[in-house]
Amino acid sequence: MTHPRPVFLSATVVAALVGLGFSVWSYGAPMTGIDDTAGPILTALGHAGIALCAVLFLVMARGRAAWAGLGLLAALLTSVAGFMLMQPGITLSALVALGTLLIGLLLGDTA
Amino acid sequence: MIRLIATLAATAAALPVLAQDDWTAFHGDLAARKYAPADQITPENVGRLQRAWEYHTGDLSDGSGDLPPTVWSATPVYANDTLYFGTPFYRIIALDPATGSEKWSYDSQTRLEALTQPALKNRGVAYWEDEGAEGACARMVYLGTMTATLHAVDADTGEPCAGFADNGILDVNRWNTTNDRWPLSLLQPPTVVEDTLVIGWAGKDWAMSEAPPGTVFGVDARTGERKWTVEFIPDEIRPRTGTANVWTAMSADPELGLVYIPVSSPSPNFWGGNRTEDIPLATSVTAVDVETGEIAWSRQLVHHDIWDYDTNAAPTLVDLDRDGETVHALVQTTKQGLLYVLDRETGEPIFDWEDREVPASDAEGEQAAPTQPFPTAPPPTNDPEAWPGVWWLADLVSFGSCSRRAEAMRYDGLYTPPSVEGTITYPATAGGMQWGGGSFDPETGLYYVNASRVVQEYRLIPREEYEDITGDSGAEQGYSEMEGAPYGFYLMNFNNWAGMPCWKPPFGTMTAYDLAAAEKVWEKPFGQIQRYGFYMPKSWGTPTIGGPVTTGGGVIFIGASIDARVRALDAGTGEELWWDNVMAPSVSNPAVFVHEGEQYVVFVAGGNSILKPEVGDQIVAYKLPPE
Repeated sequence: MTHPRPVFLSATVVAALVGLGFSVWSYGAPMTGIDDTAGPILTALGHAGIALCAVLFLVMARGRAAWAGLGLLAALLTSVAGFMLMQPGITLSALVALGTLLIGLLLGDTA
Repeated sequence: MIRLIATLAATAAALPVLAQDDWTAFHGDLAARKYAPADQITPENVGRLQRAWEYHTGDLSDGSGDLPPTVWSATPVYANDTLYFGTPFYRIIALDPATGSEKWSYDSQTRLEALTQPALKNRGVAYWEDEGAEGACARMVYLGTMTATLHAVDADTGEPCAGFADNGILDVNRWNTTNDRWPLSLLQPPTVVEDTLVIGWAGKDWAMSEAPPGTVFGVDARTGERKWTVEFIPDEIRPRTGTANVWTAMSADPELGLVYIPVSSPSPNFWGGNRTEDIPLATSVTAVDVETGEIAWSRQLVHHDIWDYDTNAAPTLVDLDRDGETVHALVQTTKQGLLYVLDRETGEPIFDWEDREVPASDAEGEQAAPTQPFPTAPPPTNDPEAWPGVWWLADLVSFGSCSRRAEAMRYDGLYTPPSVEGTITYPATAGGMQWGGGSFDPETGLYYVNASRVVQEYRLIPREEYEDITGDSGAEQGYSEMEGAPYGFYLMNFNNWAGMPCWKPPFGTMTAYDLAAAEKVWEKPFGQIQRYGFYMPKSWGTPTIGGPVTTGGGVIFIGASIDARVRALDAGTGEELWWDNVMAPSVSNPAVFVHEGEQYVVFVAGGNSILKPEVGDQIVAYKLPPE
């Protein structure tokens, strides 16, 4: 039987990678109004950080609380940053990552 | 071509007004109403507005290479079924309004040097047609250059008009017989009143005391021959001062035969010890007979201007219903945030003025005027009695530096003179209302205008001390040499170390006035500050350069904001209905016209370093998609 935590944390990684894609695209697309600015670079780093924390949480035996905390913080800040950049793609993916990460952490390791 | 489509029964305007599909002048029409009767785009459907096309001129520079930076503030002209505009590399481009494809272009081959400005600047072109005539140069397009030449080309082909001046090129600088400190830069297109081109010019009035004295020329549109000259600086003080020139757009009433001229301040901008005599035409709105150049009337808006409060926008001509009578009026917006409403036949105030006592100067040698004229109505866009005060957030970020600096500077209300200790100036040279002016809807009698709420620091620096400071005397912000004065000058926005404004938001507003009642109908923060890509709250607004256009559909179109967005607002409420991102701040008024039965809204996204260091070469046309 599939464990729910890896499923949710995998969803977190996928959402964060989608957000990373949106950030990179926003940086290069003039119609976003935020092209060539620091904002999308920061959200790209935020999304990369979320994905990394989720993966490390799954694979590392030690320091899991720290990865969980960092992941949640990165997701929260990236959501706010996406909102202030007025980019729904970045914001929504960060919120999904935040939600799935939170649920995954709350569910525990067992089925 | 202007067509009389209908006589509009205006609620506020008793006189019939021309309806038009075209946009034949910089501000749409000679009245500078910035009003398009087109009504296809409404508050209900403006959300569906789409890009019809976009065009890039290629004429841009951010100043990092060999060329100076560009500031492109053109409003396109739509006439002769063609869209015409100038570029900051001093080219004329003619486009098909439906597709954005190029019909022709003309290169003036002018030197690309920022001779009188910190940047290569252009505000577009002018259009004239010889009514009833056909053939080459029966319709002409005019482009001015930084080097003071006016180029006239055939509107159909872009070929120079040989019958105009010297093979299509008029050297306006030859009429500058007083001094040649710099060329009379023609950055604003001429105002075309019937067969006369009314030409003003720009210079660098911040740089030196003795400067070319302000002049406006009336020129034959066909031949380029000078008809008349108006001069704004008295002969006897020309060795000590200059400018009071006209660098912005003008308006005209052909029925009265008057052109209305917004005159700027004398040189140097911030020191008047060299020119303590009255210069009654400086910083004024002046009406001139368009056939003879004789002054019909003049109203000085600032006495002994030492703040750079240039009258900076074409007055808007309006007909107001007052106590059952139609009053032919004009509205003059100002950097100070004051609106002056005058009878445009006589120059008499429609609403009373008061001469109020203002603070004296404490700078040695300066004699600030003891009083200044304040209109009793309509209410100003910016409070003349109090600056917005220190913003707690900026103060916190600066560890109290904003408060300490504010306490160390002088502020006694509007018209506090520049001082050695530093003066908080609000509104300052950045405005208040800027050169885009306001727009007037003759159907509703409402007048719409954007205003900046920018606090600036003015500081006189004794000459010896100034010499020790490395400054860029050509900059519009920062250090100004004021050669010939006992002081140099420092002017900067009152920001903290992080670039945050030290004063409370909002930083810019949009206001609707009922002019007949002389009251505000609504006022809202306008635009959004953007830093590092992040948008700040809408309630903060932004400083603006450029202005609005109102339409018969009840929609206001405006760029102007620092966030490089163009917007549509509900004219009734000020609610933001639509926006789009463009390449750089759109620092001019848009053009709105009907071509082949479809309403177009065209913005130029050229940028202006005063707002943010972002340049553009983009022109974007919007229209509704097919049903």
